Amino acid sequence: MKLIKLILVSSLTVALLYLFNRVMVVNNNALPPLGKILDPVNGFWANAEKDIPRLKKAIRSDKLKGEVTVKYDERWVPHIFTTDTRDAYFVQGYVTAAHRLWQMEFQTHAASGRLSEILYHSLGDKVLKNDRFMRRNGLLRSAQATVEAFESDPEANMIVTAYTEGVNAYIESLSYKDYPVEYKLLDYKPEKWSKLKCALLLKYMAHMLTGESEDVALSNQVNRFGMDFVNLFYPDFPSDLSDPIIPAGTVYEKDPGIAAKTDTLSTDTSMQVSASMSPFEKLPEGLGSNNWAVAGSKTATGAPILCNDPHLQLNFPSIWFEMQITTPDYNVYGVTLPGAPAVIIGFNDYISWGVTNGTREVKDWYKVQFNDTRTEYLVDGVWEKAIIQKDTFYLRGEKEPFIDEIIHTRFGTVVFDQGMKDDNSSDNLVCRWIAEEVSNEMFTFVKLNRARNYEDYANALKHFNCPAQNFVFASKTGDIAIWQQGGLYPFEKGQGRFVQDGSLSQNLWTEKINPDYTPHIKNPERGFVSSANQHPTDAAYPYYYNGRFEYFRNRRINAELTRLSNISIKDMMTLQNDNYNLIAAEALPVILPYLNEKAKKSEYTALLNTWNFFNDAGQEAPSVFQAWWDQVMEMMFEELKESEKEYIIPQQYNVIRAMKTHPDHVIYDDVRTPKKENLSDMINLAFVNATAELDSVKAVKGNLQWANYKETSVQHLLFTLKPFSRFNIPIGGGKSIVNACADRWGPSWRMVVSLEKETKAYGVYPGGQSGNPGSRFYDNMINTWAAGEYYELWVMKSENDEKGKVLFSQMFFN
Amino acid sequence: MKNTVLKILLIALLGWAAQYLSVWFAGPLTALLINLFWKGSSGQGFLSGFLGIGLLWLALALYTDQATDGLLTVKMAQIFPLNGSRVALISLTAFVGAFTAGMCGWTGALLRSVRD
Repeated sequence: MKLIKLILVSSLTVALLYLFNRVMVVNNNALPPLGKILDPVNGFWANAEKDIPRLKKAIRSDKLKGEVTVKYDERWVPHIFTTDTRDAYFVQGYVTAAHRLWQMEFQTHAASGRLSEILYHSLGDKVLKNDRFMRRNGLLRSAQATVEAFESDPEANMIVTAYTEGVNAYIESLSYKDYPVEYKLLDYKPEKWSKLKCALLLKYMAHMLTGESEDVALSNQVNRFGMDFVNLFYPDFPSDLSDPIIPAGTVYEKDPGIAAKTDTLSTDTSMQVSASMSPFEKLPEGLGSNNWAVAGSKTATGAPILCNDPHLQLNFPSIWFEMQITTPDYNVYGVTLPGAPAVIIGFNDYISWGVTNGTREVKDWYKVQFNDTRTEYLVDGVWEKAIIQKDTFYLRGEKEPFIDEIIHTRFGTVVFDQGMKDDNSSDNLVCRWIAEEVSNEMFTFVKLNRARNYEDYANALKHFNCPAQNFVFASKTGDIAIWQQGGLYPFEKGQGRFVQDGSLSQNLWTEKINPDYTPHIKNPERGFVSSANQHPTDAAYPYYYNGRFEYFRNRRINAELTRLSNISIKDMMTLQNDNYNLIAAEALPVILPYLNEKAKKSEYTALLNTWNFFNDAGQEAPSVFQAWWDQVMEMMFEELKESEKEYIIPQQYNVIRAMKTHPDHVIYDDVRTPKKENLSDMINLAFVNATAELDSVKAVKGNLQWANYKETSVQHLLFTLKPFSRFNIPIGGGKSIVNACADRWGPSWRMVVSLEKETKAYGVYPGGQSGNPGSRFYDNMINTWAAGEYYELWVMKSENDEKGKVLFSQMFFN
Repeated sequence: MKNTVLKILLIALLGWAAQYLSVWFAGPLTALLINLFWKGSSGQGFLSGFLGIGLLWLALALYTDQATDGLLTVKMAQIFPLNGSRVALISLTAFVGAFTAGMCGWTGALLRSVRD
């Protein structure tokens, strides 16, 4: 009897211990191991921080050459002081990992198509599909090539090796208790960091900045609506608009190293793309970044001021990690990308720099003709062997891995075919992405960190290949400059605008334009340089490029910079937070006159009539405009979405212009109704729909204040972890507004640097230095950011220059 | 009675040390071991484990929650999902520890009685 009881009770106990020690999947929800995570000694309770993050005071490593001191200030910005450059990268790696380990690893898992290893048991095929897409996009392959580039250069290799050792020194010091809480919730362990992961992180950034490509969509649209439609709505250079980064009228030299083309290129726009091609995921329109520098001739102090605000997805943990790094050779302050060495945007004792995205297309699509077994493909009439590679995906919770077959051609890798994203397609579309080329973008930042003048800056940029970035520059000696650098090819006019014929080798890119001939300008007459993702040049630039360029912000920024004189730091902060809605200012005069008498008497129209076009958080008119304009865009281009083909909505500038120049176009007809609608019908119908939407929003939220309507949120990388996110942040701005704060995207770092004798710098980002949701440094800067305020960026002169602002000190030694 | 209280205290104390040095179930297993070496009824076995580790987890969770103003507790109580209730999450924590250790204590006591 006793024995039976013992067997019964002990089996129950063992079962209980087992259950509480592992993840349970219930209805596709993965529950964390209850015993493990609730343990008040080692579980999530250990991640709750009292005042400051729990860090070791002294760290010993045989990888270090000398002593390194790290001081954490009141915002928990680490200030690193070292006597050796290699040690600086080691400590950057260690310190970053100590605050952002989970995010660093999660992003590299995402980049390398390995999220299925940690999420398949709860997300299933959705996450696998995403992983396969990432691999086929070539992130992993291009990161592997980047590691070879690192290793072929002793200095680059030293830097990534030191950084990697620093990250690993931190990882090796951890036990379960110390893991970031996300590891505990998902129940997995951090793996060793590697040079490959540093490369993956950089490629992930490149992927985020070059995700979109018009080729497939435009090919479809040429076939469906004709070339006139494409030229009207997707012109390479809108004829009535010219506000490029390099001022219009600049005379360009051709790269003498590029031979004049003799081949006639095949830019066959009628390239048929399969009707069943599923639409790609769409990125929001009108987001990018701003940067500018004003010369001393326009500032109050006579010293240049440099500003930058990159617009990225608003995530937790924050995309940036702020720090100061001081070595005997340089003293740099700015934001870093967790997982990559060096400061990405910032300033040193001599210069300051910033970046915006070039938005020039760096992906080209080819239609390749395979044989039935897809082992060979046709090039110039000859069958060539395709490289077929098995790619393995480990799936959490499954015994068998998933094996994908990836087909490489010399034009690129097959991304979309019947096995991927589009199960019915008979096409094999391959993508060639500049980021797949061997390059060492990291070097650009390493060299900018140490740059002392314009020449150093120009040299640093030469390493940058993908994605094309607009590097703005200012120095204490008074120079300002901007340079769009990134791999640029001597394309024929129109080449790369549509899907290209992958059976002709002449459609491949070959030579590259020498960086000396990529668009740039130093100390222009107008006294400032700026970029906001617009055209880098006017049509006079001798080489063809394409992309989506007009986002209105550039024209507002340039108008303000032209107007202002005697510029102060405060003026620059005001401009970064400027909420002027240029789209509305240009669109409303076009659409308002079409309203019928009834609509003209609406309370919503009254709001628009008295509006000053500022999208301030508390105003209601911006919500009215947005609701109406969204309806106009939706009704105007519903036929693009009617088909199952990949499509792309025109840029708003081209839409407003078409309404003015082509008021009788067939596009205004709603193809879903038997009636033939004209522009006036469409605008009025859109207003009726918008009114209904606004009424219901008002009923739910009580008012139509822009911030409430827009609903800006900063969300944790795992969207399911809503409690780790912040919703309904009271901030104005919006898409295509200088303060480009949309619902999920926005200014991810605002920086203003005045290069006076003693540098004055200000900055803020929507988050906090710690990646731990249990820390008060997780989201402590959000409110300051939303209010348009800044922190003074404190450059410590020496490790002893504490000014009572140091909360914690760390020592690293051999 | 006095015995039971002493046993509870011993389990709490050794369980705490065991969890610090090792993993979460080291605490509950302490209840098993103590009841294996310190003879007692099945009821006492369960109760000593339940209260020893339960009170330990309760005290530690309560302390952490108070010391950190519930910053993380509130968020975790939404994830779990317990409507963001700190009290509910602290109670759940105490119960998971208590119940596991109770079962362990009972098993320990039974093992002892079978051996005897």
